[in-house]
Amino acid sequence: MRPSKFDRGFSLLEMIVYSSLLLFLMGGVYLMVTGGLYYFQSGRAFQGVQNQAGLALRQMGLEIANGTVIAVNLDEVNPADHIILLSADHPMPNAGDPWTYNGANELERHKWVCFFRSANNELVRTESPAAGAPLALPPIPAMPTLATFQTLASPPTRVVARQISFLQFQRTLDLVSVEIHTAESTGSAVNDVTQVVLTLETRMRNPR
Amino acid sequence: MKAARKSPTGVAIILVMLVLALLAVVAGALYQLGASSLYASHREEEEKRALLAAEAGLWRAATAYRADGTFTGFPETDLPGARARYRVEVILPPGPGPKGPIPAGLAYIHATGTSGRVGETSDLWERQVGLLVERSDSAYHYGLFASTQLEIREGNTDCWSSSVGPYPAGTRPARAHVGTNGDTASSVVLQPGCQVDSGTGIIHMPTGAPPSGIVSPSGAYLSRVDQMPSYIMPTVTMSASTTTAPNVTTFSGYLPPGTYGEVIVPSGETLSLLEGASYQFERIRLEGNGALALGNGSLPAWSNPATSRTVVQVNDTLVMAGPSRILNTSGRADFLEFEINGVSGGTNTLCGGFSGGPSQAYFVMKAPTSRVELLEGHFFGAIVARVIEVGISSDCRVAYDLDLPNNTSSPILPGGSGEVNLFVVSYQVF
Repeated sequence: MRPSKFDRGFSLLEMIVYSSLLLFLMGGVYLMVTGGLYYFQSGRAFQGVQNQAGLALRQMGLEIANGTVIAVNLDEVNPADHIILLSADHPMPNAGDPWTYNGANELERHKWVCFFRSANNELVRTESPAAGAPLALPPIPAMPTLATFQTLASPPTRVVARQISFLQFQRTLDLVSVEIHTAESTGSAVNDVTQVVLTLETRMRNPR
Repeated sequence: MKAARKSPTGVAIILVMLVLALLAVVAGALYQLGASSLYASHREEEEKRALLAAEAGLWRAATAYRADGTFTGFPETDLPGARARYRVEVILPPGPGPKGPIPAGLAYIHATGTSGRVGETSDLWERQVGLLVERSDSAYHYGLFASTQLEIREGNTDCWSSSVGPYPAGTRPARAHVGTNGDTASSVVLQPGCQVDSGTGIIHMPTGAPPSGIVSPSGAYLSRVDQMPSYIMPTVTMSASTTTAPNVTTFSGYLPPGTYGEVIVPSGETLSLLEGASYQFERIRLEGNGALALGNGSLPAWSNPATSRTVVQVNDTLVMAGPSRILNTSGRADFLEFEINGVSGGTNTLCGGFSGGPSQAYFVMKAPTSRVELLEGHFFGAIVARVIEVGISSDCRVAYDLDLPNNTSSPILPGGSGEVNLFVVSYQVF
């Protein structure tokens, strides 16, 4: 029986054309999938680092705004990679207790609070009771060094945000600006990194 | 056989379905990420709007509370031009406020900002801020306050409490602050070696003053506070005309209370004023080691503060030569008040008597339109003027009386007609 034209199979030319088309199509699909995955990973990384930075800035902004410019480690010349400030909140776990005032109606401070970037690129918040607390300002009590806070164990030390690649504090008068960079790897290559830079400006309004 | 012949054409539809499925997954993921990111941005924006609304309400309420001590707050109020609202409550002692009890004599202004307009009930974000304030109608809240410019060439400010006793009773770094309403460069100048409250004081500036508004060496003061609302300057109204009044030419005994023209106190003479009296002069001039004395110890003991206060109104200027002195043996700055009308715009020069032994220059002075120069010596009380220069000749110290803010006998406006100043004790955001 003579085979019909449907049973003859494909010619070499047809195979080449079909294969080329299939290859082209699959290549396109591959590019779309990998591209989609890349954007997916980038987006997830962006969202992650933005959330990290946002949370960190919110936490720092509150504590800085409630601080006073006369008891902070920042001068008006040199930026710093950490901040140490005197807080009117009580030491943890009683941080929600009422603020106190002395007989002259001056606000009393109870603890030192420090934000710094650890060796693991974490933004760490820690605190230490102020010597002689509660105390009204002045005089300004001796400020603990960064090393003191770096050696404190948890609690009250806790990580506020991760993947912090840069942290800087700058003060102009009573205005404190915080610049924070968070980065997350989105691939195996060195430059496959999504980075978010956020800045915050907070005024330390407490006179003393 | 027919089905077998058609099977190769089915590959295309399967491939298309696969591609569409992959595209759908990728698109769905991207949509989710986008929506999540958008929500985060939205939340951030809404919270910021709520915070700004709270701040706006807070400072509006601060102004209202300064003008009216019975002000209790604002109900839910739309922020003009923005999709946000605020409500404010003034909490009086003992409170409690959101951060605990309110100390006596203070008030807590608590503002809540919301990201939607009045009536909106969904998708709302809230932020809260608070201000603990002291409201006072005393004209003397600073050791030195100049409406336009203050310069300390040589000297320091500190403080003591007259209710404890004469200086240095109750001396401690507290609130020997200085301030100005000047909002231009060099509105406050502290020369090297000068300090405010021995370096622990505050310089109050008006909101909006540039960083160059204060020129000072390092360590001269503790911090700068931009005060809003600005400080209300006191006013002086002469209670009688002095232009045609007789001059004072004799200096025996106490000068009867009344209205006088010019008084020139020669060196070696003393112009003695009665306690609890009121005087009006066209101008006062102390020459050589001449003195202006109050009570001078020969009168009955200082009694009721309300009746012991002597008010000296000067229509033009009070000018003291270098060695001349002011003698107020009561040790109470509020017992001797100078009110300088400054009709000619001349300069007032004051001396704190270093060269004449321990200073007894206890007084307060309001000269809202005048320039006041402190030559040298030790002054106890407070000075409010248009321009103040301290330490013209030599070292000057100005000791601020911590009891002055509680003294209602010297209001900002004559008769205590309602003008008060507001002082921020603490600010809270949460």
